[in-house]
Amino acid sequence: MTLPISSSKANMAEGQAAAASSVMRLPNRAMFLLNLKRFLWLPVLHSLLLFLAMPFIILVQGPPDAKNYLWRLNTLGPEAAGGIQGWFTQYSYHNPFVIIIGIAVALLWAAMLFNYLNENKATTFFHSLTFNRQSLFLNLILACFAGLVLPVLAVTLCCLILRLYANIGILYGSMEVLAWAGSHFLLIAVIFSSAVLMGMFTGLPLVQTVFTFIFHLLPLAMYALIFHALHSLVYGFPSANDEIIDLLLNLPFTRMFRSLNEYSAGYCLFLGFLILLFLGLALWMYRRRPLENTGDIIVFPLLKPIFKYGVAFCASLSGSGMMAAILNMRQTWWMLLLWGLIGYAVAEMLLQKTVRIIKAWKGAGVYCLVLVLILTCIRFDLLGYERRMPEAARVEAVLLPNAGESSYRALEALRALEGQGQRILPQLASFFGPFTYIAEGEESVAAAMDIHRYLIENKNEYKGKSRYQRFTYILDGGKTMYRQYFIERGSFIEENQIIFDNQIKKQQSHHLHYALLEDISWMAVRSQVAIDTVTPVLNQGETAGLLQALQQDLMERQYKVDQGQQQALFSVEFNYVEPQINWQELRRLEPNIFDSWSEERIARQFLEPDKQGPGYNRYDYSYLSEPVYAGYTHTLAWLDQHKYMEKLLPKAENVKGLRLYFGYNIDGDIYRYVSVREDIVKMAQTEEKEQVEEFPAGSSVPYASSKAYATKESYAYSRENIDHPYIDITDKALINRIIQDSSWQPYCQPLGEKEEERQIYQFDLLMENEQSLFHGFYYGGLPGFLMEQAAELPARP
Amino acid sequence: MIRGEGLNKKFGSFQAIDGLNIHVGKGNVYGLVGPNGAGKTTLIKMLNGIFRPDSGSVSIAGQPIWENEKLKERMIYVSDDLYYFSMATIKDLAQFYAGIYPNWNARRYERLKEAFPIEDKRRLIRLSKGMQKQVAFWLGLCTMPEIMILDEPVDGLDPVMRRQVWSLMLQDVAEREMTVLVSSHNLRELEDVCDHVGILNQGRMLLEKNLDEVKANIYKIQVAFAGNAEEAVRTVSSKFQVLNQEVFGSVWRLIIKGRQAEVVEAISEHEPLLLDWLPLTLEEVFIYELGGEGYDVANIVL
Repeated sequence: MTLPISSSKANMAEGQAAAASSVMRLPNRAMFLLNLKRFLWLPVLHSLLLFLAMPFIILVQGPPDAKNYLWRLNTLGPEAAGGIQGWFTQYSYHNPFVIIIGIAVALLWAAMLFNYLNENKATTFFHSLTFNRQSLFLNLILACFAGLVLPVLAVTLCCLILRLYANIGILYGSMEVLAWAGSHFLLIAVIFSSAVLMGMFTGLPLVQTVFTFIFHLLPLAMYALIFHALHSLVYGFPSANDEIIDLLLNLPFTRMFRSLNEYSAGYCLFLGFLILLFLGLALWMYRRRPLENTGDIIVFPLLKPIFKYGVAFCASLSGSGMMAAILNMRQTWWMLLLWGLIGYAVAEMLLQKTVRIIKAWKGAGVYCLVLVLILTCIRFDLLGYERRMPEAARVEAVLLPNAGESSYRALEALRALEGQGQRILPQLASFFGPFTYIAEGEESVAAAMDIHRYLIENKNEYKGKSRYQRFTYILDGGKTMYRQYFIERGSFIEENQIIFDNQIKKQQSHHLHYALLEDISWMAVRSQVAIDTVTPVLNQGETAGLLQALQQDLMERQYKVDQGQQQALFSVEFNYVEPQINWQELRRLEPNIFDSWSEERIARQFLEPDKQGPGYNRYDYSYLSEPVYAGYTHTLAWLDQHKYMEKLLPKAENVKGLRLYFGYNIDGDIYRYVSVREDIVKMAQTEEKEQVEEFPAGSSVPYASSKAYATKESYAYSRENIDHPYIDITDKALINRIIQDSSWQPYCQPLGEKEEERQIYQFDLLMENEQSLFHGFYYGGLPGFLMEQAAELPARP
Repeated sequence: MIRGEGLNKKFGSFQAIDGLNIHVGKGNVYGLVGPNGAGKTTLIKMLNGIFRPDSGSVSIAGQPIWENEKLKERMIYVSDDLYYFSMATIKDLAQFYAGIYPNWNARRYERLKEAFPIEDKRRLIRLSKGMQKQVAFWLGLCTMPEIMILDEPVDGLDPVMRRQVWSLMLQDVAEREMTVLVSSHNLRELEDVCDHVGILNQGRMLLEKNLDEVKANIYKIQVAFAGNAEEAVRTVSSKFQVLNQEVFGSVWRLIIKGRQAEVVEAISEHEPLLLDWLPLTLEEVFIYELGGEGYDVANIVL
């Protein structure tokens, strides 16, 4: 059959007229509509899931919450009603379903939209159409953005409409909803655009999604793996870097899962920039994509070596880390090599789509060679990292273990404030301090560097130990240098004394030194000796006196005592008044003053606009407590002078008796003989090990650690303790005399002193149930009036 | 109209196209033939601007095809392995084409419903392979293309529909000077429709000529000699390229390349008893040309 189809002039003219009117490429209506129609189910499903995850739950839970809030507001008043701040947040930013739906939908969009790149006939079809790659790409992206934004808009609208229903409107504001919608859209758009970018690298559909997850988690994973490996292999290399962690935790993907609800304009701009960057890169790659490599895991031949060696490197780090953890040993060179080869082989198999990859041995050899070179550099410290110490002249401060860098930055900011003639508020010093472990000044820095030098010189002694104590050098020009070592507790006492006992350091390190009388809202003294005895200090004059005494004692603290073990007699409890702090000024003075954690704390404690809100931890809700030890002579004298001592010490009338004995010593540590319950004595006497093992760890048998109870030895200790000689004093007058006498003191074990070398008598105050209320120690020998009773005490075993 | 110069394309270490040149004139129907794996589809994808040559250039109507939207509006590519959107009906796809091809002819679309008796409300992926092919031609012709590039185009079509499709295309060739480049293994069919032919082997263009010229210089003859036939054939073979020779009793059948008059003169010197000129099909040209390049039917007895 011959069917005339184009002979008429009309037909020709029609075609030419159409040709004259050019087809608008972006947006191309036909392409846009086709894509929306092809993927219509996805925005519909997205809307439905988002609706169920947000407005639906708000609809179910909102009215009762609103009703409850209104009742509290009307009945109890605004103070007691509590806040509704953050109510919406739990259904939006903190809602894991919303986050997961967003990520899943973004990944699905990217995978479906560019799925044609993973299939030969689809690739051929799309690229034979009347679009160049750029207009094709942009038309697809446009359709997808419409598909992403419409569900978010629909749900936003639902949330806004819900505000009109059943008082739900009092629970959240319209701006909250709009802010969430904006940030949520930006976040899922970032995930989408990164997935598009990943799709340009690969010709396999599933790999695109895997690559996207890797892309987002790679920075954090690489950071963790590299730091872990270098920490294992390089002596002194720190296990973490707070600045890098702060940065990585603020990347979009991680931030989404941290459920933060603060998205500043700057951060939103950053997200927008990322979207443009990822899409721009994706387009750039798309225009260069070799379509013939559809079906390959990596379509760009130039990127294949990067993929191979990248996989090998990641496998080296992760596999060896995992192996080291399983074998409970450090990462070693052979683990890195082994896992590198495994990774390389897997990458080759994926690239070549076969398990026969023996011909790739050359590449694996190159990888091994490079790795061996790097490991050799590390082993022999060819770069001098392990031996490196900064020049003392360049060191402004050394932050010893326990001193955070942020606290140093804060101290700097506080000093800057002081430099401007402003007083350093104790509330701020308390918030950021203590500044004890910051070594400053020539003498202190030299002492800190002596510790560092010793650790370097004795590398072999410390290398195999868990190195978790960090040295941070603050160098001139604001530079930093980190090292991390193992430092045994109680070591380097002389050096630490130089740093700690420095008067200026003491002055700076404790917030009470910055306190004036007007800073303190109230003060009380609590007994640590008698149960539940708290005496408020009512008088302002007394408060000033107690504050002054405490400040004097804090200045006279000694490193060995302070860092040793000691039991407080009393504690001074107090609170500061709510401060007026210019945070902006602080930030201006020291931009690095706040890390992300302190910012959250500041927001919670000081900045929460609605101070009735549940997220606000009011500053004056928490009080501060300063222990008063036996060495705090000024404070104790003041308490004695002002009759607080007699109120706070236990009374003979309130105790059953007093038991006096020699302090008992096991392996160099003192194990105090305390009351022994009858049932436990019986259990111990049965000589049944199994029963002894059942001793409760916290019971008041002669106490060793819970671990000791689980051993045969503990049983022996228990028996010896039970047989340990003691005398019981029941004479109330004598007990009162003992308590009020000043020759005993609470437990005190200065750093570096061996307890067994001291002649120790000990007494326990026993309650009615035989449990010990308190232990007193005679480190300087018994007072004269007890000599007679002590003579009855059998000799120490 | 279509010009490819010095084209090269490598897939890994495999050289798919090797210094290839191709020229297709306006209004030509160009048959691209070659054995499996010769590089036909790769070449076609390069001519369509889908694959980018490693070196060399492809131009259509004097303009480079790569990323050229304007040129693509004037072309239609019907591949051997068709792709359609999963949810789309014929009508949907027609609307899409109408939105992206500026020369879309809606009247022609309606008229061609007679030629392609498929309801346009049917979903494309539900259609049989042959029907999908029909749709490809139906919609392709409605875009009023100046160039149609077809890769194994009529595979899956029944003989009537094949004829129908060729008839429609040839009308456009005749009336609008549409250029057609077609790759096919159905040489019998190509012989009927093509005016030019290119034979491709191992990524190289062995031969590219007007079909009549191809046939003009290669002949199949039957000849019998009174005297020493073997001597006579040896003499002829020394003067002309004999692509194939077979003996049936005293009758020799030769495929021979050369000018007809010169061949006749050479054979006449040996006083042939019989000299018949037999028609040579394109398929035979293809087989004997490629036989000369080492691509031959292997004599394997199973």
